[in-house]
Amino acid sequence: MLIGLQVLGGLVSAAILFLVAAGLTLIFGVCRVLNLAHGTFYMLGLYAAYSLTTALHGLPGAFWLALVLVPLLWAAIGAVLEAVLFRRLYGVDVLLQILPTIALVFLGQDLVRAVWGLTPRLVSTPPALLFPLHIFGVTAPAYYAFVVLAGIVVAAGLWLLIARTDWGLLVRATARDRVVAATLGVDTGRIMTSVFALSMALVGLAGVLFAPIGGASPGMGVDSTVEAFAVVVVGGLGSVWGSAAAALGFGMLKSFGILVAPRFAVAFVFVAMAAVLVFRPAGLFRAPE
Amino acid sequence: MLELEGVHAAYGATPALFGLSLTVAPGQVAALLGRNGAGKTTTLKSVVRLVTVTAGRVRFRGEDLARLPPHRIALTGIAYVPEERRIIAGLTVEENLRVTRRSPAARAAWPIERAYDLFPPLAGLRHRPGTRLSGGEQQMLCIARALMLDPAILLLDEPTEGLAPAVIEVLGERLATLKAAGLAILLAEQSSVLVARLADTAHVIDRGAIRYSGTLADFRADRQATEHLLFVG
Ligand SMILES: Nc1ncnc2c1ncn2[C@@H]1O[C@H](COP(=O)(O)OP(=O)(O)O)[C@@H](O)[C@H]1O
Ligand SMILES: [Mg+2]
Repeated sequence: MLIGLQVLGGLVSAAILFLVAAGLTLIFGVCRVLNLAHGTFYMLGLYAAYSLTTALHGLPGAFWLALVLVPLLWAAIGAVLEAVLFRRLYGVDVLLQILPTIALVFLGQDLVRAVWGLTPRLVSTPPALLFPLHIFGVTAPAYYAFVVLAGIVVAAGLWLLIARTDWGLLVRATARDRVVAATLGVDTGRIMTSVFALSMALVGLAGVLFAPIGGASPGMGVDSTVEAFAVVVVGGLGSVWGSAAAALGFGMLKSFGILVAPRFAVAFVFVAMAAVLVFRPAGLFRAPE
Repeated sequence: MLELEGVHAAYGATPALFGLSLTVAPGQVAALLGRNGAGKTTTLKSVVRLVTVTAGRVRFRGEDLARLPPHRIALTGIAYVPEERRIIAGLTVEENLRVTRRSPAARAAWPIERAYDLFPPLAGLRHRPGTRLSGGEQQMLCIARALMLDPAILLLDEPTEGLAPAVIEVLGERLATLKAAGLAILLAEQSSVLVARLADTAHVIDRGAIRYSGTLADFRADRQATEHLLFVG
């Protein structure tokens, strides 16, 4: 009974972690930039979901609208951000690369303070998914199962996109050898813009999905970046499948860690990260080159 | 067809080409000869803009390439085969061939099967990771991949380096077939095997500029004049 609840909670954490980490690892893998503001956009996604659903108060479909609109908007913001800012950072010294992304973190926090203040904001669960679901021998809100399902569907879609489409092939080629790809006629700049847009859509989706579960609060952007970074490092920088596996492991570890030592649940994740890196410095799913 | 005129090129602040001029005529093979560090690779890179051209002009079929980014240059019909066989890791042989963005005309001219017809050993390896091929197979793949652009000219950077004579023989034969079909080639080489077989003109480069240009026959006759710039067999 208790175990079932922890499993479900772990899967929910894993789904969210995966959606955030997948974008972070894609941006790193293809553009070679570590975007420390990635979690900030997760946080902003939650607030955007809050504002959108509050603005559309009476509407029953408000949450679903946010679920579609926020990722689309985030993709557009991602494309613009890549074109005006990140494009200038490619191939630059790592420190110089990271500084502007830290600036974005502060900008995001100030924006949250100015617009939403310090009070946590919760989005109400869509009425259609309020009913209790009997699963793993426990009774839980159907919304939890929906989040897990959404995570699985997106992961499968991402796999199809990257492994099976022409666009995915160009993304993989650009990630591995930007120069050769360009000499074969691939507009690698456009590929990077679209990868950024996709990554931002994923993190926006993660934000909306988590909004009815945890709500939005000002410090969560940095926390999310740090956790997603751990997932990405353990999974192997640039490996989406590594991130999926690591997110699953971390989600479970967090969920069961809370049972053992509530105050150290997050610390377990980092102990696990250190342990993995001792034995596989390149991460779980990346062959050392 | 391809004209380099007084080209200066630099890696950051380090100049590498000093007023290099060179012409490749349609359907002809021009050999670019010179010892290590002479500037052969940089010359090819200056055509596809992988190095900064600081002065001079590169024209292809009359069009100035200065304004075009590398991927647009590729689409004008210039295919570049870099040195050291840069197979894209993590991609299968067939995926390496499919990376090329190309026009419908190029698609019609070079269906993937035509690459396998040209280099039959690749056909049986199409699902194998490209990096797990022998050196000769990798070179075939790199050339086949470049041909997917249906280019008018192929820029080949030391394609025979480190390959066994039997493999070089096969490559030479295939390149001769392509030449007969009208493909121009700018061939950077240190060894003379392919050059003797394919080249129409020879250009000797040293310290970033052309020191000798002539037909292959002239070059052979004048061999003494260029010997000190080459040290090759
Ligand atoms: N990436 C680079 N950065 C700086 N200098 C370079 C670079 N590549 C080549 N060079 C220099 O440019 C000159 C020409 O090199 P290159 O064109 O590679 O010669 P080759 O292909 O004939 O061996 C050499 O002096 C070499 O040291
Ligand atoms: Mg060279």
